[in-house]
Amino acid sequence: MLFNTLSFLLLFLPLVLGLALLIRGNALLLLLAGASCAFYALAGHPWFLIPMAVTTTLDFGVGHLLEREQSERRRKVYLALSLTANLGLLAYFKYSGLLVRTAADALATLGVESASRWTLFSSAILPAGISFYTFQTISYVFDIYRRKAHAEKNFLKYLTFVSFFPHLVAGPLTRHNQLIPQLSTISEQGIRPRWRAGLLLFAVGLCKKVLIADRIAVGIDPIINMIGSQGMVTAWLALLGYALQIYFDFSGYSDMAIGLGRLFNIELPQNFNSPYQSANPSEFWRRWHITLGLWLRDYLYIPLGGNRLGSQRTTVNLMATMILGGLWHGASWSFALWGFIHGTLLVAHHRCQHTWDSWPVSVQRGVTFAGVCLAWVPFRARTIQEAFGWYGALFGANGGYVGAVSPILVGYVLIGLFVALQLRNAYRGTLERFSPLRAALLGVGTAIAVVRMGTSSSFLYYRF
Amino acid sequence: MSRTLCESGGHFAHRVPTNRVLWSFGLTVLGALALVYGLDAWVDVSALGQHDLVTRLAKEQQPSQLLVWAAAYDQRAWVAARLRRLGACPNVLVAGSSTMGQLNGSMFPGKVLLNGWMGAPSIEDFEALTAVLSGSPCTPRVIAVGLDPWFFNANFEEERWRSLTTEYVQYNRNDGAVWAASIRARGAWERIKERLTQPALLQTLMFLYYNRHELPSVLSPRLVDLPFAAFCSTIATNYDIRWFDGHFSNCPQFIKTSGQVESAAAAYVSDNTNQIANWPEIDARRASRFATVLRRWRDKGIDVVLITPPVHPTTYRRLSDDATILRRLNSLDSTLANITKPLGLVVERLRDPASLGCTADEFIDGHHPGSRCSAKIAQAITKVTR
Repeated sequence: MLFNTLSFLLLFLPLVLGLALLIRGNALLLLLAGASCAFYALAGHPWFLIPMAVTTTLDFGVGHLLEREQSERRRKVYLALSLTANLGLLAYFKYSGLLVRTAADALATLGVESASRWTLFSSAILPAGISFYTFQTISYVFDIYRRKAHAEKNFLKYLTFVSFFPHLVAGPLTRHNQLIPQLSTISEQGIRPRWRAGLLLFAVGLCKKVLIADRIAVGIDPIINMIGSQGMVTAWLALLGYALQIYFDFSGYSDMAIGLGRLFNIELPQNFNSPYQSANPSEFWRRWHITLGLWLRDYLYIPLGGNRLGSQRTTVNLMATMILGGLWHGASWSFALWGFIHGTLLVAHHRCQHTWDSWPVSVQRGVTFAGVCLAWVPFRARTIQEAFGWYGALFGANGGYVGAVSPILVGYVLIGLFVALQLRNAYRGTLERFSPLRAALLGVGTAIAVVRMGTSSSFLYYRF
Repeated sequence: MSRTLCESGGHFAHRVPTNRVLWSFGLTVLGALALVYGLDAWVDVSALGQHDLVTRLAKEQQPSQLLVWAAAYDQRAWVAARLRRLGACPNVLVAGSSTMGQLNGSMFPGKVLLNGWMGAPSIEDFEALTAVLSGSPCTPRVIAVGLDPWFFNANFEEERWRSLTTEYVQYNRNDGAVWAASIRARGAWERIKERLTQPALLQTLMFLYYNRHELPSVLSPRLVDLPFAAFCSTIATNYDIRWFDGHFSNCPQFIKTSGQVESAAAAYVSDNTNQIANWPEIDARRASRFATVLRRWRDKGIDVVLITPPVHPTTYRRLSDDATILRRLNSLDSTLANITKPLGLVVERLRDPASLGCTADEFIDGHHPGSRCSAKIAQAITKVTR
């Protein structure tokens, strides 16, 4: 069950929200935590709850131990315990397959066959959202270790912080000091839904995902499946389409998550701020997946030394952060390549900032957008080889031959480019100035999105 | 009406009161969805509300009458009603999908045939059918079951069996009242969702467009007392036509040309028809449930023969050329053998059309045998049954 399903919109959300309006205190927290666990189980599989329960319980306990313990050595042990558990789970579920495959490939080049029992690691099913909630709990434990935060006393509140269903599966990555105080407030006062800000933002997100992202995906997936043989025009069309698809899909989901949070009077942090309107790579990373960028800065880049240890070390720290940030997205070396490209863009901008800033803003934005788009190639490609095949197609390796280009796809890409490059995003207060007419138009779009969510029928006889 | 003024970036911005905006948004969304729901329910191309009507029509249908509709009606209700019809017990019951749908009574001389085919039957359909047979005075001597590959494909989910929810619950009565209530609730929810899906809306709009000159009479299935050829001369769009003995026909003007049939056959795998290319493994649980159904039929003294229906020669070549699909089909055949052997039942492997002598011009598309090939299937059934 995801946000863009009828079961969520017509059953789960009204039921949970309706009950939440009636209660407060620990009963409200229990409802939110229980509903979130049910949501998580239905979004994937009930056994997904097990690793989440393990890290939640462990980190709650470690938080208390860290707060009480004075011995620095013991505090480091507790921190290491938490990091090992969290990163260990992530390593097993997300990266074991990559490591095993890489090792097997390496051994194969040396003529050594790998044991079949290692397939246990390569076939682990990835629990949805594990990358998000482990990072959230790591930041909680880390802040207590650094004595920047106090351990939460109420386990229910902590559990709700970790599992709160609007942000559980795909973010925004929410810090404890952003969410736990709000949970305290609604626990004491009850929830007061921000209907307008919540419903309208949710509707905008739903439309972005269903009406734009999903439609573009239908058009570009067949092209990308044969990308190695595409001409220049279709290769660029597919790339622009993918850049728009991932933006509208991810930002749409974030909008839905933030909108849902507002219905429970919880303000989740902004995650996208018109990133394709950025004038340089640094600004892009302040506008794209903002919560991840901040997390990487605070818990990876700065602890590594940030930009405090000289130019060369800054470059190393930046590259390491971006490559690891790339791997966070997926267990494949092509994601690491994506991170490497962004790291290179950031370093290049950092070194040439003076020259960069002398360009007209339109050129800065154009170059940034082009660089970001080219970086999407390894992110979307299934393998590194496919990525290089795509790059080749982009620069004419297969000629400029157009082939069959869907005018509908071109239309969607043009609309998407206009929205992404020119318009203000819904988070920037535009919803506050919505007129009833614009709200009605959004309503029409939302209704179309709801119907388009159901792409298959289990009852129609026409298939036979 | 008053407005709320607030500062924004040094300018005063007019903020329309929340109520007006929310009402405008909410009424539009709910109104549009209600319109879609109402339209889909009115036309009912998904046959969700036809159970009682089709049951009545099935009970009333006479040998000279055809059951017709410009879309597919509730086939499950028709089959159940005919099996319960007093004084009309068939010797031979054909079960399975539309790939068995053109077997007709004249192909079983000296026997009474009921062709109980239904669109893509699922294991739930066979379980419900078993409950119908248990509660009916009718016990066919022979049940010939057509089993298509998608029957054991876990990626192939069907909800049309819910027309026989009462019978399905009866078959599984040992699972208790709570389970039964959950099945009914789930069925109600699936029906609500169905009326808000894009495919249902598109089919509804197409139905209304192509049949606009015959509204409103075309909005429900009906019995016609006309010879087949005469009825075909009266229609402008393709109709679902079911004869008294249950077999279906297509009016000649809507039958695909040989070129169209060949194209459909050639594209059967590449188009992923019936999820044939998206088939990870044989669903062991379905196989086990099917074995239970067969055992119950056999225990009633019914002679059961399983058929893997023939496909178009080009389709067969495409299936055979795909190593993964071939592996699945071989696995399906061994699963069927494992199910039927302990029960002493017969499996007629007819998937290769050459085994029956069915040629390309004897198919109406990539996987539906026409009447000439169906007659050969009937001969194969007759040979192995009493």
